[in-house]
Amino acid sequence: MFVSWRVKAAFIGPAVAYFGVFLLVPVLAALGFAWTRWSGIDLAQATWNGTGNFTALVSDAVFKEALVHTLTYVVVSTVFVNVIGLALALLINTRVRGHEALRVAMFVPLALSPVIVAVLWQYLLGPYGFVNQVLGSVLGVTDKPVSFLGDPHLAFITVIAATIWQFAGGNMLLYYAGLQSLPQERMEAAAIDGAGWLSRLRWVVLPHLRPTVAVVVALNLIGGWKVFDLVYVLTRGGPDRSTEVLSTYLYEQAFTLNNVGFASAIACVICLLAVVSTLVRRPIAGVEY
Amino acid sequence: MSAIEQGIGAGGGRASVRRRAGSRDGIRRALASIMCIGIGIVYLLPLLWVVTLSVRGRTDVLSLRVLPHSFRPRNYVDAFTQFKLGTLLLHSAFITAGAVALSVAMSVTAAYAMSRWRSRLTEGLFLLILLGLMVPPATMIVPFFVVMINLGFYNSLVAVILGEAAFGLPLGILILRGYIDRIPPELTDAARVDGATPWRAFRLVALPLLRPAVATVALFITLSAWNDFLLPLVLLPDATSSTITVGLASSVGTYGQLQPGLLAAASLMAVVPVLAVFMAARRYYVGGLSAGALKS
Repeated sequence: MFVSWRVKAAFIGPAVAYFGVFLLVPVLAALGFAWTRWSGIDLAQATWNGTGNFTALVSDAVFKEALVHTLTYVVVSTVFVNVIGLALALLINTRVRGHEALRVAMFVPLALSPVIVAVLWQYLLGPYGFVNQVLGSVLGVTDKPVSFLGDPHLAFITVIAATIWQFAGGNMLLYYAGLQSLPQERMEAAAIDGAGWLSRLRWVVLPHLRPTVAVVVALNLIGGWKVFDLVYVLTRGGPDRSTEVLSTYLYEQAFTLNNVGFASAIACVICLLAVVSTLVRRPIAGVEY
Repeated sequence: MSAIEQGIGAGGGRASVRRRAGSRDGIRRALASIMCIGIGIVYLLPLLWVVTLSVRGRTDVLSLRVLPHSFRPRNYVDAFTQFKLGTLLLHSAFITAGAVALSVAMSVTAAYAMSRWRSRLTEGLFLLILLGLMVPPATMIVPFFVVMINLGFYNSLVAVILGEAAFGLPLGILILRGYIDRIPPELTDAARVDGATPWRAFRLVALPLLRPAVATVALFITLSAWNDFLLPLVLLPDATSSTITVGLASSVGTYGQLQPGLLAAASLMAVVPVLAVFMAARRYYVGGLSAGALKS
């Protein structure tokens, strides 16, 4: 059916133009700002800085810390949301009484803003929070409240735990969807051959889910680099930079210290990590993909 | 582990379980049930405990007693007025509605064209826009902020709407194009043969069929716009008249230790609207989640 190019352009044009102006150009501009020394707002004041921001980045101790924290955060939370998501998907796949309740419970955190998640966990772990109540007055194992967000190690673990809590449900749903297409006969054949549940998991279920694992892991990695709100509200990168991630450091550099050039160099690194993480799909999915 | 074992054993079918029904199997299923309920309750503990916190009186919030010894529902009224939740919720609702309308309108037409009139150009544009799914918001926030200041949109809700719609666009196009691919082109072609313009064929034949996909996209953009923090944080300088997320985060920073009861109540009031929408529309959520995941 003939359609003139004008009509096609009218359908596609607005979205493409909008995408270009409000997403593509800002990202490209950030890649460009990384080569300048600039305090923001008036572009006329920007001066060329060459690779200056990148060399500064390499020797910046906080940047190195933020990079290590970001990588650790993304990798550890991805591993846990996948293991927990898959285990819970297998659990609800039993379709026993109560599986629907678990499904609904796992849905709830997916609707929450990371800001709300941060507030919930702040109160849960606060000096008079649920965890300290249980440790102090129910179990009586601590005589003074544990300061989860005041201790560098515990604060970092808390950030990861809150992330896992929020996103494990999404992975559970995706793995559950993947399990629905597993042919029943294959499971029964393996059972008749005397395969125990562990070898059925290893040789039947996991190979079947391999493409699902590949996309889910890629999604988790891409989502992981986006972390900002949770850390900003829960810890502000503290105590003593122990939870500083690239995006919170970028925010500080850009909006508190007005080092737009330096902040944009951090943006380049985040972009690079996001792009690289899409390359994990192929090896995980295997040759047939 | 027995429950997981059961999950592999059952593989989603009830028949095989029934065939092998025995007392050992019954015990396993009971254990799996208990695990489901137990994990479900533990999972919701952070939320449930904050519900109990939200009705505690001033002295009761600072105690190590797990269950409240006071009941003060007035916390909700006080929190609503003290933190100006009316304004904050209204702003969030306005931004969400604007972002949904804008990005649905643009993505549904573009996705239709990219599905129906495939060429190397439309395919290339589609892949280009999909790259937007990967962009961490922090990487584009500085230039976006500069553009908004220069356009005079700084400190305006419009700036936030423009940003949220930009983030919603790629997912919208991805979900909608996948859905339109499965609608037979003969339907719109028939309308064209009867003399309808391409626009009327789209508007009167295709669009009504797209309702579930549009609902999915609207749900995802509602969640991301309502819950977003970075854009309003940067673009709206006054936290007390910003969105619910920024206002709440700022109040927690200021009053979090002093008035936990009030802030717990405020957080729950911030959650209720979006949770209600989400739960009512959750069947659309799974579809979108796997559309985003299973397409390349």
